[in-house]
Amino acid sequence: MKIETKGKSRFAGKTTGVLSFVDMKKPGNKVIYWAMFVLMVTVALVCVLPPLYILISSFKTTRELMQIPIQIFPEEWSIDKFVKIWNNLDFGTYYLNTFKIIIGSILFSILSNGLAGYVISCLKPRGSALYATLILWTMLLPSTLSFVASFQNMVDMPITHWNLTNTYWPMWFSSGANAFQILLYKNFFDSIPRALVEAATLDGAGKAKIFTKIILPLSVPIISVDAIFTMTGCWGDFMFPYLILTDNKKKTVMLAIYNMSIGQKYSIDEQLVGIVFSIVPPIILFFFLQKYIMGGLTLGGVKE
Amino acid sequence: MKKKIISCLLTITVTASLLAGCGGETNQVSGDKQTSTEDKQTSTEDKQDTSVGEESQEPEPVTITIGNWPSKDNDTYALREKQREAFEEKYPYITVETDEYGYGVDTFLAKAAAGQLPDLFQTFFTEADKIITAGYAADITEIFNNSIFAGNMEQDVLDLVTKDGRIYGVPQSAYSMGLYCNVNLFKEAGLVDEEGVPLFPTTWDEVAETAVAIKEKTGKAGFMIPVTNNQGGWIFSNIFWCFGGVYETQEDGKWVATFDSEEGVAALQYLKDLKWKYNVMPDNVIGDLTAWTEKFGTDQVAMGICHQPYANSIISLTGMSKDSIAMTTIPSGPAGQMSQMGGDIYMMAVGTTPEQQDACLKWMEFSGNSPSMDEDAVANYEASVKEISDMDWIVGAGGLTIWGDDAEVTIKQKEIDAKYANVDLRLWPYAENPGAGITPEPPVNAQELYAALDAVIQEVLTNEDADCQALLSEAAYNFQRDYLDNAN
Amino acid sequence: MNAWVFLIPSVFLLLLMVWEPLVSTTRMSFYETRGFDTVEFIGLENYKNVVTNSGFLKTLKNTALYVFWSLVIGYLFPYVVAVMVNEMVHAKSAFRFFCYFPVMVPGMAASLMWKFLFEPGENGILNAIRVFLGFEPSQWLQNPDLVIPLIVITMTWRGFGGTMLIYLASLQGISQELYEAASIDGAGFFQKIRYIQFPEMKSLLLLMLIRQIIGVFQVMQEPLAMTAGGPNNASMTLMLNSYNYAFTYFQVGRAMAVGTITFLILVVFTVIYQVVSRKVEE
Repeated sequence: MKIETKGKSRFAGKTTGVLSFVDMKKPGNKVIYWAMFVLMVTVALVCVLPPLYILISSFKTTRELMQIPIQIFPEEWSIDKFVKIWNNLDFGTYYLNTFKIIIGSILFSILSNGLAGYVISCLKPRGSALYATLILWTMLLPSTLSFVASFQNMVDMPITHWNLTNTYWPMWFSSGANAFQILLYKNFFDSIPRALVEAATLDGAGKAKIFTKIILPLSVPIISVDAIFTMTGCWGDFMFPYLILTDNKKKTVMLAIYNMSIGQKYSIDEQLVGIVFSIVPPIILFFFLQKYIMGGLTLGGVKE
Repeated sequence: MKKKIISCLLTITVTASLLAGCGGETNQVSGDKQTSTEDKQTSTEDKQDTSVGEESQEPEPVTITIGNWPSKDNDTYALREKQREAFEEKYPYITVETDEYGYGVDTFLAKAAAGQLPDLFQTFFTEADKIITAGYAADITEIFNNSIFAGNMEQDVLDLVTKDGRIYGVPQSAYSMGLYCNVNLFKEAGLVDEEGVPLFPTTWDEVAETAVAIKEKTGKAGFMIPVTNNQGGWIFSNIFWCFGGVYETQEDGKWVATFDSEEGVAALQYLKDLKWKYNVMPDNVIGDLTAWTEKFGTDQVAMGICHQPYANSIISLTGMSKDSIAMTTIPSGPAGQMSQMGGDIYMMAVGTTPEQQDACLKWMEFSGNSPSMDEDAVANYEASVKEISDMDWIVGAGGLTIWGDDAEVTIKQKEIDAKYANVDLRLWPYAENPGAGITPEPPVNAQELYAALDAVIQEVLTNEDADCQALLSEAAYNFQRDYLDNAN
Repeated sequence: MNAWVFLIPSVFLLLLMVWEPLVSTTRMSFYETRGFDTVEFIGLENYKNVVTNSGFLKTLKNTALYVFWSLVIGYLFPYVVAVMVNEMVHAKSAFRFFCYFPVMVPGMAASLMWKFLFEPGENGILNAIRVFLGFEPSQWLQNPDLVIPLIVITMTWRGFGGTMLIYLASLQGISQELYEAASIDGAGFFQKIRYIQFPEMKSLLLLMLIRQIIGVFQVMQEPLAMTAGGPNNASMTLMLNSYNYAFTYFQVGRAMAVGTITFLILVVFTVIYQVVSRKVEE
């Protein structure tokens, strides 16, 4: 009953979707609405329960995990195991390494992708349209196919013959070579009203001044979106770091949990703890920055 | 493919056990967690101290990097570090750096191509040829021939590391396989004698009967075999040979796949029957050795085949008590008793200098991986055995050696093992005769063959209507076409 | 002129990380290799070897199956969810939050997590649920017929939230007046979806379709982590195959050949995408 009244008041303000508040007065539509609501609750549960179950299970011992019939909850909620694995495997180092990759990658992405987007969108030097087309194709081309050859370039860089394995440069480079981000920036800059720039030009502002006084302040949202994308991307990146970082001291969190899962080194309960370690930071990030994260996706991602 | 990795796992322990049986060589070095690796830090620091102090020695200072170093969380880490310090004291001009890199079938090339291989690294018997062909192992013929290693090795083992008359490696350890039994489940099923010793099956038929009895009495699975990561083929080989199968034969210099013979089909059919006719396998038949280990170590499965050094890995991974593990020699089949022999090889990275290679050989000798054994090596070995025994892992359960029963190393290690032995030998019939029916791994494209067999075994264990003959014929045909025909 | 200066980092990095490797992949596919070094030009030998390998056709078929199942399972799902979320007045932002939640779980962690949930023994949670409901336990990833759909489900689980938000943004851009006009004409819920909403979304749906095909065709990490391509190669994909050639069998030339073949197939889809998206823009 209570829900009903509450519902009514909510429907009165319904301004989105196919069903308007007028429609909601029909019982048939109400059924449809609540059916969809139930479905959505189910979907939400499917999204959240698996990680939650992993979290719960990570407290169990190997014996409990092998047990039939299973028990949902562990016998003991002890974080000793977490502390032990954190220390023994030195997860602190893996976190730190991943963090280093993230910071460098964000810088590279802004400097390379951001500037490229700016040039293509605003400065438009001769030939930049061609470059834009090239970028578009690059984004669509399946470049992951050439990861073996990219790896080779990192082992023996063309011309300089630097060996970049076990350094973070390759990950930074690859974050700076992201066609999707370039287009994200381009779309964003395209949406800045030209009038602003023109007005400033009329006032006699130089290109540099326009950039620092107008473009840059306006770019804060896109840069934060870039930073967030890069951050989550780097956190989850696996294949390339797997090939590049063979020194254990240099490894990332993702490599650590994969290494735990192969070979006969770690029991299943330890592996689960590793998975939990790898999931928690991005989830925390999500709780705090959900607006930016979900907003950023639609900022420029759709149309290219 | 990781299978062998395992083999090296914690081998150290093994070592200890190895001794009992055949002897020697022992794996201290191989010990530990092969793949992983953390931690160079401490070692690097230490090392610097040392090297600064003693620069005045006659030979030029040389630095070597040794792979397969245990990670800090490994139980054997402290021991190995001590060993390293002692070594640097003995040879002040040598600086030892460590790398936790252990051979991984899919990580080696990336590491090698990047020039990041440790100067001294380990691999499996079956991988040697591939690595030599790819050009990542140093030619150590001269230095080898002038060392204590020369002339001590069995020819067929030496052949593994020889190509076109040049030598590219030194075998480090060898293992044979046997049948592991979970004492707890045997007891629960009443399959023990009055002293509580399991009634070990000695033929494959008895294995099936025993498994059925266990399933009936305890509801737990009687037998399980890993089937992924090439471990399926690797372990199935034992059954295959016992039934009389032959993988590959050489005809006029050309290799021919012959594993779809009547005998091979019978072996596969046996496995299939365990699953479908006797119903003694777990629901989860697809898994690697870890899956088996978890189930065996937590009393969910009663038997399985694996190599001897693995016993202590089971303890380490699952916390199983050493007194719950029993092991007997491979059961016999129609063609007799055949147990797979494999092992690890030391190789040196291409680009190492002769001085470094010499230092590596010295390290191998120092750490007990050579036919001779001086006082230091004895002390090292004893320390490691004591450590294992202190952890309540298995010591004194036998195993293969590669330097022969008469070698100094074999004899001395046996003595030490006997001193610390903590295993109830009634549970370890294997230890009496670890060399029973040993058979080397397939000579050509072994890992690829295992992969092909994995697929066949998976099919047989998941499809009740699978046709063993047809599957093997197809696998043999494809293996011939994809690999053997290319090899020639 | 000096504007190009700002493009230098981008040009340099794209050359190094993307363009040169693409060219080099193609080039090396015609060579015999030793480690990563080219030894000798051997024409189409690598291609011949790769294509005649007994596993190739199966791998190709599997890859197509991944795409097929991803379309069946994962294509309309985010759209339907977006439509529903768009209707919600209760807990709308919570639903958005929950749907996007899996996107934040790193891919490797998600694969390992689902691998754990798909434990085929009765000690697996999903099997426990099946048994509780009166079904036989399933073999899950070990069943060759199920393995690809299941891997696709995990990919969908992790990925649909992002796609859903894109659809949702587009849905929210549809003018309410259109619906109101239809209501006045007496159109019901499903009619409005079909005749008013869907036409507005058609072009976006088409773009996402091709994008998904291209994306899923390159699947590698999920099978690597969850099944290593098994059982019996039932979940082997072209990219994983290429990875194995390079890093397990040390046959870099053949790895490159598989990569090039995949590339050529995908170029066809890319061209289609370009044509379609141009049409859509008009």
